[in-house]
Amino acid sequence: MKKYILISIILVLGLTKIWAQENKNQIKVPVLNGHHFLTASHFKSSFINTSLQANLGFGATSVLDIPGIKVGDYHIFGFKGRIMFFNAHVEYQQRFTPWMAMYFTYDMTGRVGTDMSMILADGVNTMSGGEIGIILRLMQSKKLNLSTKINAQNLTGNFINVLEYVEEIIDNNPNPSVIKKVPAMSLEVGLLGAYAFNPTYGIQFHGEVGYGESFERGSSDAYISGGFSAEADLRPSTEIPLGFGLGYSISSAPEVVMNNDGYSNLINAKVGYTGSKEFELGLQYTLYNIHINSIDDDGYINNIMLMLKFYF
Amino acid sequence: MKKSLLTIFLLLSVCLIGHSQSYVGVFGGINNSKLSGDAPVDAKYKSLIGLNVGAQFDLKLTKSTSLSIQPSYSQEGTKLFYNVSYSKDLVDSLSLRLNYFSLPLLFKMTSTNQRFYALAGVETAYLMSKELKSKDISQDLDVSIMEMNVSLQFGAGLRIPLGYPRLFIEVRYTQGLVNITDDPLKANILPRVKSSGIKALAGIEIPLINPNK
Repeated sequence: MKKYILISIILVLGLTKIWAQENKNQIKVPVLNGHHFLTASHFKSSFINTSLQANLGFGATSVLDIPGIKVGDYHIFGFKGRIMFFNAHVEYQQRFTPWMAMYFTYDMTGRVGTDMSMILADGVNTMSGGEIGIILRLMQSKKLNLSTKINAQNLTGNFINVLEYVEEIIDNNPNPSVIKKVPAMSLEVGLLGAYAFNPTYGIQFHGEVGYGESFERGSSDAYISGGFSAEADLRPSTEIPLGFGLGYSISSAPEVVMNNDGYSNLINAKVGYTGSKEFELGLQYTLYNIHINSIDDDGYINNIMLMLKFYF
Repeated sequence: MKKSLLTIFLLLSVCLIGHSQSYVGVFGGINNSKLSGDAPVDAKYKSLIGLNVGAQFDLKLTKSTSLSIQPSYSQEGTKLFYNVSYSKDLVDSLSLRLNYFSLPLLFKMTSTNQRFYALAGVETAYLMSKELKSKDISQDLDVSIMEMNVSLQFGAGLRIPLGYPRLFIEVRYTQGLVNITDDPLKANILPRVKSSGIKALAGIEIPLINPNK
């Protein structure tokens, strides 16, 4: 999947060079009614354009108290502390017509840390995979842009499960493994929109329905995601090239909830540079809840992400 | 199967003949495919090159969109590399060849300059034959393979006009949607193994009615 996405990106970048020569002085960043829209990390922009985006993030869970396994009077493989992650996202979108674009993404999340208890704590270890899809514009007016997207997503999760590992040893499994690799494939359709009230204020919204394999083996499920992000761009009124966004989303998608059922609530805040016609630089903070099977209460993940997006 | 294919061809011919903006063509190319997902213990899937040849019938829907049906023969499969004790590197041990009759149904969306196009659609494929080889010697395949495969295709292409006909080159990414086997891995765990690959194709297409007339 990685190799294919890379080859496709290189091929399509070649095509971009030809298309990119059309309009050199045009505003390429997404703008409606004079409002510059920011890009969010957890949902796709509704605009049809050619762009390359790279996000790099770092996250940490709230303090987790994972009990481990009780052997006699002792608990082994127990963990109390924070698990840290890094995550990276690369996305390339190619516009073919004013109403249609194709896109590819590649995502990677990995656990970081050297402490043995942190390494062996239950939960996601690494997750990687990509998405390929098309985005079609449904309507555009001075203030509103509405699009739909259809995509296939192929992810592979590696999860640490010490309890299952011990059970495998007890059951004389010839190949016991503390890390369980689970591939998951899903299809998704979504509605994406952006509305500009005036040059300063705007809102973006999204709703997605997906169906496919979850990270829990033996089950296929339907997933939903939805939410909005309200934005203010200071540039039209104060000449300060900064935009701010505050949003809320809810999601049951496997890449968010990992190998657990239920929903995650995502609250995010973003600040972005809005002074360029060709690129966007932003910093996004996201706080969301996630259920981990081996503990009773939900854990929380704080994530800070640096985002860079070029428009061609 | 034969009867349904014949019906499809007849329906298609009637539709195409009655439509002035239709194209017919042939194409061929290479198929770099592999399986992805759960692999056997100590093994890794790697790509296997195969052929892809077929015919295409494009029915123009609007100025910039067309519907393409492409009955074709597609060689897919995978190589299996095993981790063995006597070698540091994975060893190229097995190759599984799956030969399909496939029927992609694709929407093509052409750019404003009419040269480039994007395509997306669904491919259904019927397994005609399968072969497992180890060092060019056929082996018994002890895993059942599903007869039907369904996959999504996304791609892009370039058209090169040559007067009346036109050449095209395109690249497609294929992602299988269904697991190609349902033999349990262990303890009743169903494997998640799907096909995926990249196709690099070239072909020629001609309009059914000469546009100059």
